[in-house]
Amino acid sequence: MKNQFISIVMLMVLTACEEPVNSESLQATWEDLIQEGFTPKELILKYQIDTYEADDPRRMQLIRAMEEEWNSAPVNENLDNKKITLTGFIVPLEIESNAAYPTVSEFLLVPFLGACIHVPPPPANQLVYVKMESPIAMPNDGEAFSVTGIMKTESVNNELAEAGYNMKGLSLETFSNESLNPNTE
Amino acid sequence: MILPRLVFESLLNRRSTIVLTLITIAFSVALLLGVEKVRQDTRYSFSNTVSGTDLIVGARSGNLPLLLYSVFHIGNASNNISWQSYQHIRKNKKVAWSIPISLGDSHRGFRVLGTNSDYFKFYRHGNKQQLDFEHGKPFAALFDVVIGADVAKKLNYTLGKKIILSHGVGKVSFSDHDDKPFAVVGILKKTGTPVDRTVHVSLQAIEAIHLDWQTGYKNPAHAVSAKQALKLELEPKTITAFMLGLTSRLSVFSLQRSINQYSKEPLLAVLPGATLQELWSLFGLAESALLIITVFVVLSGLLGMLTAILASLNERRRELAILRSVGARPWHILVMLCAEAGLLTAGGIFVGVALYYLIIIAAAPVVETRYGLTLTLTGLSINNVCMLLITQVAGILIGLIPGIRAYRMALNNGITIRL
Repeated sequence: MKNQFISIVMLMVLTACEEPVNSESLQATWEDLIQEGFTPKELILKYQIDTYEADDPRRMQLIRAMEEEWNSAPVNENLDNKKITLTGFIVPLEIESNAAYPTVSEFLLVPFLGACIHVPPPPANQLVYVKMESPIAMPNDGEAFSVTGIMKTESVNNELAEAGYNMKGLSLETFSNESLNPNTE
Repeated sequence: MILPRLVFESLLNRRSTIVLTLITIAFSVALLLGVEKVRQDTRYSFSNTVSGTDLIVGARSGNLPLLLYSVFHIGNASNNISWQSYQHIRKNKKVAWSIPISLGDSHRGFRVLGTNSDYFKFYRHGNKQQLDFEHGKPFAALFDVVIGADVAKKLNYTLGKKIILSHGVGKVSFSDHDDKPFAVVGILKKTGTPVDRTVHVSLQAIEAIHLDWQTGYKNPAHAVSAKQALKLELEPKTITAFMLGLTSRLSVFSLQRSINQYSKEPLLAVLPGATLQELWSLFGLAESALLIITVFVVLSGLLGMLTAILASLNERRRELAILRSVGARPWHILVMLCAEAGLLTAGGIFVGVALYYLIIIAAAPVVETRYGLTLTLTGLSINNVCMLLITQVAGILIGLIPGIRAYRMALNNGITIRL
């Protein structure tokens, strides 16, 4: 009797934690990955850098403090365990060499590729570490992809995931429609 | 239907000329498959070599040269980097592990790599595979050396063998570090990567053999014997490059940027995966050109077949007339000629595939030792099968040309031949 009760409870708990596999995916933008209150516009308002002139060293200090906060901004917990589609560029991390052609099993999804060195690289909350369920063909240089998968947000590093955005990638497709840029509002 | 037998017998009857056409097609098919194989195996070789490494750091040169000399031992470094810079970066809290490497020496044509025990602990290849030992263990004493599988095989080395390292990376060397002999204490298992062709020593050993080379040549005034070297504190002053594994892959870009902007020394940090992608996009153009040339070769093989069949058409008029007289319809003649072309192409493809496999088996050892490329013996991929199917269909379609010609001839001439 007791064993049956435990197994029923476990079954309920396990099914409650099931991932949304067959549900529709949310079309996400890179701005969605930023927590409320940490978008560039909000940060600029918060720090009020415009109170000082462009050459003023106090403005530089404020900008540096603002950048610090921007770089360490927390992840948007609302996206945890959601099936989303995000469009960006692929930076391969793990290349599988057992197929007839090399395939990529793990990659970083980034908002832009090889950008100018004048500005800092994207902060951690604008990067997604994607582990594909099945490896994908090596992408061509500079090609944009819409990646669909289950997003996982982590606040700290552990053995299974890293702090920031992790995604279990389910599928992807080449982004080809130039007129429709999903990253602009 | 007697048609298949007729086609076969007809070809067999003219076998002396047909065989040459068959061989032409066979060669072009073998070439088509071979080009595809080299393309596949080159990529396999490269992607198999490094795994699980987040950043590779060296002196500031360029992405591709750094990847090529540090991981694939192709080319040379333009400059070394300081030990201090390495220590400073590896202590960064984002770094989980690091492997320092030092290049520039060789042993009988094989590159020497100076490193430490972290190499055997953290280096991964293929699909996150660790380095395994066939015999022995990692180096411990100053003059210990660990060799890769190909080095042991080619030079017939076993544990305990004494070897001398040479300065520079030429195939032969006239400047040996012969006052400091090394002993083989470990032989690694075959990995199918440049590790097999590498001789590994400790970083301290690299310092030791260069003690009397500080002026750029072997200076007898600065001679230090092997025994004396053992007593010295040999901390490396410079290394060639180092590999990094990070605690979080999401921090790879910010660490890469901070290394690239390191103010104390010009350094460069590259992502191996992204750099391999760059390398392959360079290959892409050459590969496309090679593929187009190969397609033309196959086409010329098929056109050779067309010429052979067309040329023989005139002397086969009597044969066709006889066939017509026993009841063959003009469309039978058309089908017969298409089938001949199709069968000939099929024969060529069959022999071509056999030839392709024979060449791989024969050439693989030579290619591996000379170019470091492992030619794997795999079944035909979907791509290959598609190419062969297209060739077969092309062959049958080309058969339509003499087929229609013969069809018209049969219609016009009837049974009497107008010569």
